[in-house]
Amino acid sequence: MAGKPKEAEFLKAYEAYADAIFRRCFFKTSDRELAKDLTQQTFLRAWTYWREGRDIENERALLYRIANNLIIDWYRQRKSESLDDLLEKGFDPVAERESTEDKAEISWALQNLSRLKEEDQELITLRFVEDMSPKDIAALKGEKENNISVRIHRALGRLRKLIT
Amino acid sequence: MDEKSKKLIEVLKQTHLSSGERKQLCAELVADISKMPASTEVLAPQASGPSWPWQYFAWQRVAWAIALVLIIGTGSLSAFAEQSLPGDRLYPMKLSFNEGIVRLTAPALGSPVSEVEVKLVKRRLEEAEKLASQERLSPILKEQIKIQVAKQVAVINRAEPIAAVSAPVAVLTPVSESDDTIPTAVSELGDTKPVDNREAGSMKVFSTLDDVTAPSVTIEPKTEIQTEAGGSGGVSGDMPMTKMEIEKAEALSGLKEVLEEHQTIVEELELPTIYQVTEGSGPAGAGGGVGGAGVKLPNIESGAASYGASSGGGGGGTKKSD
Repeated sequence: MAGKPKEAEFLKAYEAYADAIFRRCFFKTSDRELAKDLTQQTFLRAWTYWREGRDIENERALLYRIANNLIIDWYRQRKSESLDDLLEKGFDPVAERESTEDKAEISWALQNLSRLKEEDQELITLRFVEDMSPKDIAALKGEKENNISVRIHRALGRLRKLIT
Repeated sequence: MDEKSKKLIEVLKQTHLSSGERKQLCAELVADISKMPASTEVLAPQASGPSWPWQYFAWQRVAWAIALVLIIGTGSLSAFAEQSLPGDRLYPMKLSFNEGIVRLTAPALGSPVSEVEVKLVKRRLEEAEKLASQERLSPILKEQIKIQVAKQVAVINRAEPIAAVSAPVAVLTPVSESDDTIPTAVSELGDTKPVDNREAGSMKVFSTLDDVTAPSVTIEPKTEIQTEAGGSGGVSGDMPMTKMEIEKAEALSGLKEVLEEHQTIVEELELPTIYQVTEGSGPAGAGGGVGGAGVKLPNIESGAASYGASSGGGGGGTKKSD
C-alpha cells in the first residue's frame, strides 16, 4: 500500500509530540479533557497536510502552529475567562490526578505560569518543559537564536520574581 | 535557576497523557485518518491503471482544442489575407500560404499548375487595378507585382523567372534586315510591341533596361514553339504533343486572354513588351508577329495554342496601343 509509509510516519510523529502538544493545550486551557480533545484535533488537522504529501520541513513547528490556532479559537469561544476566575469557581484542572499533593503542585505551577506574559509562558515551556534548544525554538518561531536566548533568560528572571 | 523555578518546571514536566489516554487517543486518531487516506493511496491507482485512459483522453482533448484554435485562427487570418492587396500586412500570407495551398492542391483537383498560374497572373493584375483605382500603386508596389507576374509566367513557360523583369519596358533595338536572329527574339505570345513606326522586321526585342546584353525576355520553349525565319509561318505539326505541351499551350492561350483583358493595367505596370498585346495576335492562329517571324505552337484540336503569324510573309504586327 502506497499510503502506509505516510501513515506510519505520521503515527511516529504522534508518538514523539503527543505529550508536548497535550501540555501546550493543557497549560493554556487548564482543562485536561479539553486539552486531549485539542490534541486530537491538532493531529487530525496535521494529517490533512500530511496525506496530501505537502513538504513539511518541521513537524513540531507545524503541530505547535495548529495547536496554537485551535487554542486561540477556543479562547474566543470562551470569551477570555482567566484561570484564576475558573479556579475560584471550583474548576479543577487536574481532576484526574489521584494525589492531592500532585494536584496542588500542578495548580500552583499553572497559576504561576499563567501570570507570565503569553510570550514568556511559551518560551519557558518550550525551553525547560519540552527541553528544546534555543536553536530549535528559534527555528520554530522563525527568529534568531541569540534573540531567543536573551528572551528566555528574561522570561526566566520574571518567573523567578513571581514565585519568590 | 532557583529552586522554586526548578520545582515549577518539574511539576509542569510531569504533566502528560497517561498511557491509557495515549492509547485511546492513538486509536481514535488511527480510526480518523483511515477515513482520510493519504493522497498517494488515491492517486496511485490513477497513475497506473484505470485512470490512465482518462488522462490520455484529457490530453487528447487539450491537443484537439489547441489544434482547433490554430485552425480557426489560421483560417480567419487566411480569409482576411485573401482580401489583402500588395503593401498590406497580410499580403505575404496571401502569396505564400493561401496561394501555396492553391498550388499544392491544384494537381489533386485536376488543374494543371500552369492553369493555376494563369489565374494567379490575373489575380495580380486585378490587385494592381484595385491599387491603381485607390491611387496606391506606387513604383515599389509596381515592381513587386511585376516580379510576381514574371515568376508566374516563368512557371507557365517552365522556365526560370525572367531575369530582367524589373525593367520597366522592353527595349527594341534596330537591327538589320539580314539579321537572322530576329525570329528568336519573338516571344511565344506571338507578338511584340514595336515602339516606333519602323518596320517591325528590323526590330529585335530585348528586355533590359540599360544593358542590352542582359538576357532576353523572350519566353522561348525549347521544343514546342517552332520559329520559321523569313516569314514563312505555319504550323509544324510534325511532332506529337505531350500532355504537358497541351497544358502549356492552353495556359499560354489563357495568359494571353488575361493580358488582353487587363491591357490597361499591363501598360500602366510597364510590363515587359512580351506581355503586351498587339492587334491581330491571339489564339487560334491569328496573324501577327514580327517581321515575318512565324511563331507558333504545335497544333492542338482546340486551336488555342497557335500564336503569332501562322501565315508569315512579312506581315508585321501592329501595336494595338498605337
